[in-house]
Amino acid sequence: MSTWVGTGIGYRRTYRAALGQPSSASRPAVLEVMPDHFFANPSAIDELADIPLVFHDVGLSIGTAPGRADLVTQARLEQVRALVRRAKPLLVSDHLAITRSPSGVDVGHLCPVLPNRATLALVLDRVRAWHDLLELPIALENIAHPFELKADLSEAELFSELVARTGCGMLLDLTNLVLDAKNFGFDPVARLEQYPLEAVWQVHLAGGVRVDGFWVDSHGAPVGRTELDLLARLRRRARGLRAIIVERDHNLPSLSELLAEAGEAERIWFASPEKETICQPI
Amino acid sequence: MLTTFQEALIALATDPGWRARFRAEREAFLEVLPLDATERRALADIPTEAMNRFARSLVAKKWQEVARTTPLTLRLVPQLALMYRTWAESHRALATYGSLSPGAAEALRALPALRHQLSAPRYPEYAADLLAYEVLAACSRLDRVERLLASRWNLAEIAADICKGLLPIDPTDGATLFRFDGSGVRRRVRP
Repeated sequence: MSTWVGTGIGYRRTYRAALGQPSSASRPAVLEVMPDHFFANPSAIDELADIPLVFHDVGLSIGTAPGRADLVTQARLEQVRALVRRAKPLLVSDHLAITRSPSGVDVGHLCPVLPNRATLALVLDRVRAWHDLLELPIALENIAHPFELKADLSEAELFSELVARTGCGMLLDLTNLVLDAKNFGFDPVARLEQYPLEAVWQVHLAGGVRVDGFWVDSHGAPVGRTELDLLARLRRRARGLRAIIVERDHNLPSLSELLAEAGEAERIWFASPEKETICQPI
Repeated sequence: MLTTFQEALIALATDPGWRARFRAEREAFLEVLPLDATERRALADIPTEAMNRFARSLVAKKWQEVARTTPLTLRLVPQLALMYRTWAESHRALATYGSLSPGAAEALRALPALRHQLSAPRYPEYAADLLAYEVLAACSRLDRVERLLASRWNLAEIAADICKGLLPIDPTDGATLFRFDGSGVRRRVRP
C-alpha cells in the first residue's frame, strides 16, 4: 500500500444525486462502496468514476469452512470481480467473520469466527486466493462481537498472523472495538495496541447505541468521542493508513453533515506532529 | 471439526429448537457433537442471554430489510412485522446469490407464507395481493426478471391511494394481470 487517499463516507443511495454531480463541491476524497448495491445495475457505478473508491463487502463469509456454501461465495466473488474490473477500486475489504454455515444456512449478519489454528489456515488460503482472483489488495475488518469465542488465539493474534503471512491489510473499525470494550469489559487502548497497527489500511467510524444493556453498532448515530480519541492514538502507529470512512446506515443526515463528521475525523488525524511521517508512501 | 462447530454455532443462532435444547442440557447436548475440546468449550461458554439476543437481532435485521420492500402493506397491516418475525424464527434461510438486495430476496422467500396469513378474513381482502404486488415489483426492478401476478383487484390504484395516505374501503374489483420487469409494472384488465 502506498499513499494516503483521504477521508470519506460510505455510499448510500440517498446521496446518489448529490454525489453524481461532477461539479459538486461537497464530494468526499474517497467513497466506500458496497458492491452488492451495484450487482443489479453495474453501470450505475460509472457515475462515481471520478471519486477514488474502496469496496467493502459484507457477504463473502471468509471464515466459513468448505461446503455447499462455497458455491454462493464463488458466485458472489465473480460478481465482485466484474465490478472491480469496471470501477477499479483501491482495495476490497470484508469482515473476519462468517455469514453462512458450511451447508449454506444464511445468518444475515456477521457471526464471529473461532480464533484457532484451523480458522487461521482457512482464512490464509482464502485471502491468497481472493487476492489472486480480484488482483487487488484485500483488507479484513474486526467485527462488533455479539458474544466472545475463546480458543487458542486471540482475535488480535489472528489478525497479526494473517497480515504477516499474506500481506493483507486490516480495516480497523474503531467503533466496533469501543463497543466490544464496553460490552465485554476490557480496555480499548490496550486492545488497540495488540492489533497489527502498521497494517491498518483503513479505519471505520460509526455510531453505536445501547439496546437492553448491550451496545450495538447501529450505524445510526454520530461517531463517539472515544473512537475519535482512539483515532488520535492510532495516528502514531498506522503509517500505512489510506482512508478513514464514516459509516451511516440509519438516521441519515444530509450529505454535508456527514462530510462534516468525516472532516472532523480528518482534522483529528492531521492534528498530529507525526503527520509528515504518516503521509509518506511506504 | 471446524465445519461441525460452525454448523452448531449457526444452528444455535437461527434455530429456536437448538437453543431450547442448549439451554436445557448444555453439556449433554454438546457431548454428542464431534467437536474438539476447544470448540466444545467455546460453545459452552456462550451465555444463553447473549445467544438469544443475537438470534433476536438477526430476525430484527432481516425484518428491517424486508420492511423496506413492503412499506404499503405494512401501512395497511401493521401486524405484518410480527407475522414475519414469527415465521422467520422457525424458517431458516439458505444463502443465495444474485442481483436481489437482501431485503428483496428475503421478502420473496417469505411471500408465500405471509400472503397466506394475510388472506385471513380479519385483513382487507386485497392485503395479500398487495404484498405480492410490492414484493414482485421490487424484485423485478432489481433483477429485471419478468414476473406475473393475477389479481381480482386493481392493485396499482390501491397502491397509489395508500401512498396518498388513503386506505381503500371498497376498491375497484376487476380481474387484472400485472407484469413486472426491470422497467416497471404493466397491467392488463382481463375480460
